[in-house]
Amino acid sequence: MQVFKACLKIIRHNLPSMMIFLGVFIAFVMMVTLFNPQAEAVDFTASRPRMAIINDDSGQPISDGLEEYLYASATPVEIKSDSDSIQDALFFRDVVYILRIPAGFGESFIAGNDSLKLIRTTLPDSYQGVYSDQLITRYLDAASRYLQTDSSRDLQQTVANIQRDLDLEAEVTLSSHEIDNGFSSMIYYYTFMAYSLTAVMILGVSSIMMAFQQRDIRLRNLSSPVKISSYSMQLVLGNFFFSVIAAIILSLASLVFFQDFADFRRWLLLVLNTLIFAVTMMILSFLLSQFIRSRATQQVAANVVALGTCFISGVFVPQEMLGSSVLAAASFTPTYWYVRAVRMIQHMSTGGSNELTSYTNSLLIQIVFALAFLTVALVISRQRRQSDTV
Amino acid sequence: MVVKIENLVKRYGDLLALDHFELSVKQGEIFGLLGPNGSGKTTAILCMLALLKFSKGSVELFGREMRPDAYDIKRDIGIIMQNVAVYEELTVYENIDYFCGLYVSDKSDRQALVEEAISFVGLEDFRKFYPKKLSGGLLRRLNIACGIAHKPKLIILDEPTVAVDPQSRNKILEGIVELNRQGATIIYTSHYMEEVEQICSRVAIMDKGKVIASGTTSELKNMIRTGEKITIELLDTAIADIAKTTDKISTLPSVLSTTHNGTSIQARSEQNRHSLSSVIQLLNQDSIAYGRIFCELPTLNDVFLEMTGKHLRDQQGV
Repeated sequence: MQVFKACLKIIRHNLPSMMIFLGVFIAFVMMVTLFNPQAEAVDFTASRPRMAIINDDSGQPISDGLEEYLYASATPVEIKSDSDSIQDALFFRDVVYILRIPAGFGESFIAGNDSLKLIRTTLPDSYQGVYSDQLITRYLDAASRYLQTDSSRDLQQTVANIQRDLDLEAEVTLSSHEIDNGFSSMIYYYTFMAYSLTAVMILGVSSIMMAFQQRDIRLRNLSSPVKISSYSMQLVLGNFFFSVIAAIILSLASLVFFQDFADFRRWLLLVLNTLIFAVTMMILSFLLSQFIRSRATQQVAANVVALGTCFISGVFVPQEMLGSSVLAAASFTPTYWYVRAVRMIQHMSTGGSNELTSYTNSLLIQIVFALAFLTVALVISRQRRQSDTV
Repeated sequence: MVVKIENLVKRYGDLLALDHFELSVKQGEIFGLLGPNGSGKTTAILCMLALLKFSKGSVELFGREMRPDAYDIKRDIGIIMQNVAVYEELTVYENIDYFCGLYVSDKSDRQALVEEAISFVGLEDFRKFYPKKLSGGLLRRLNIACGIAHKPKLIILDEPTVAVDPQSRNKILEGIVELNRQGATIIYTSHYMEEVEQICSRVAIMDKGKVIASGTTSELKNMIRTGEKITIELLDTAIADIAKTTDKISTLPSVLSTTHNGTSIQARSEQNRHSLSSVIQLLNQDSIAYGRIFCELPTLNDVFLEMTGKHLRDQQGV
């Protein structure tokens, strides 16, 4: 097992350069843990836009009801009603939405006449402005329905009914998002691990292969009584052992970092995904090392491949925020499917068979990538070997 | 015979690297394979070790056919390549242990062999050093230790002294002679004729992929017409007088050829004939003032020059 042992010694010698990538990774994990302990919200609180209402139709029940409803749903801000004060309030972001209810609006609305319109002033492209519009529309739609169906024309009662309806809220239970302590941080950890694992695999595997592919060392090895099949097998075993050990160490480290994490089943799924990804990246690194001939090239390859694939695959930026063309390109990398599997574990409800199937598919696609890389690498390696030696 | 190569033909595309190459090496010899760069020495070694495919011919080592899967034969061979072939990531000890471990599986046996190899090449103080911390000469010694630690019966050294300082070169050559004294058969390739003359019991001279002559160094020197070479350093002599005297020397029956350059005259004698006394007599007769006179026996370079019209080293467009 001389070749296998030499592989491990080569890895040991190259640990310092790999530790740089692991250091970046650990630093990132610490940042996530320190600054984002409750990363994912577990309940819902409605946003309350800062709103000013100038009611010129005061005393009219529909208009007063609108004012009352909006103030209940927003943060009321008092401003002067002159044009300069309104512009200043918006400019200095004292308010994000100003509603002027013109005199006679209520009667006009009851009559179904839309000649008198509400005057809305808001910040351009403001989500709070859109939300405020939705609140107004919601009230007016409800009022419109009551006025069409209620023949009593008791406006006070109509407004009371509207208020009662709008106060109704559906109870929401977040069953698939049961966020236990440390889970979101664990997800960050495993997502970002793709970067470190890719870089470490390229550095490790290419270091081994560069050493063994030096022409004179190869000739010396081939002239020894070690069978070529045994020599190749030990080399494969050395690389495989390195990739699996790296994945296991990083996975066990996650338990150290996130000791509160209790969902062992999901952790096992994360570990399985990591193991398959590590082996896939090991084979990709084996393919790349057919072209790597110097330390400088090795560093460039590690940085370019790790950063490149991680950027487009949703390691640094969530996949949901990436463009469809970027994701389409990323789907040709195993990193994309690794991240996808991690996200599936994140959103997996207890015993969800569909999610488990999607997760399994992501793993299978990574394995297909591994087989494809292996085929290409073996073809190149064989061609190069046949070009000079036996 | 330890090595018997017959009719070996190796082509790289249109280039004929080995042209019906023949070689026989007896047990206990230090056999020199001498030839200029590109003459096919390394190709011959790689074919001999079944590391390179060849078109035609046969290779027998220790009386058995050499094939890529002839692991029993490989067990008795040590190879030291032209370039230093060691792992940068392993220390001196680890490197020797690794290569020795390819041949010797028993750990305690191996440990003793590695220590012996370290002491043989004089790297005792460097066993924990990484190769990049070693000088060129020490690296060459490490390279040799990696090839001999398992005590092979046949050691093949492919230009092991290229780019080595004189002190390390001498140490390496002494080591090779010592290995031979301990019982190993040595095949030593080089384009340094002085080294080959110094250590080899038999020599084959290669050019353009074939052996053009082989034998002991004296046998090779006897194959050519040139004998001793006389060089006379002249003192304040007119060019016309030098030319006249040079012409007279060339008419001597034992002299093959003469040249002069204004400050010295060179005369080449025929094999086994002596011209020195006649030359001195002519110089005195013509009252030519001379300083030192050198008389040299032919070298392997002279042998190569006469056989191929080229020098062994890259000095005249070899």
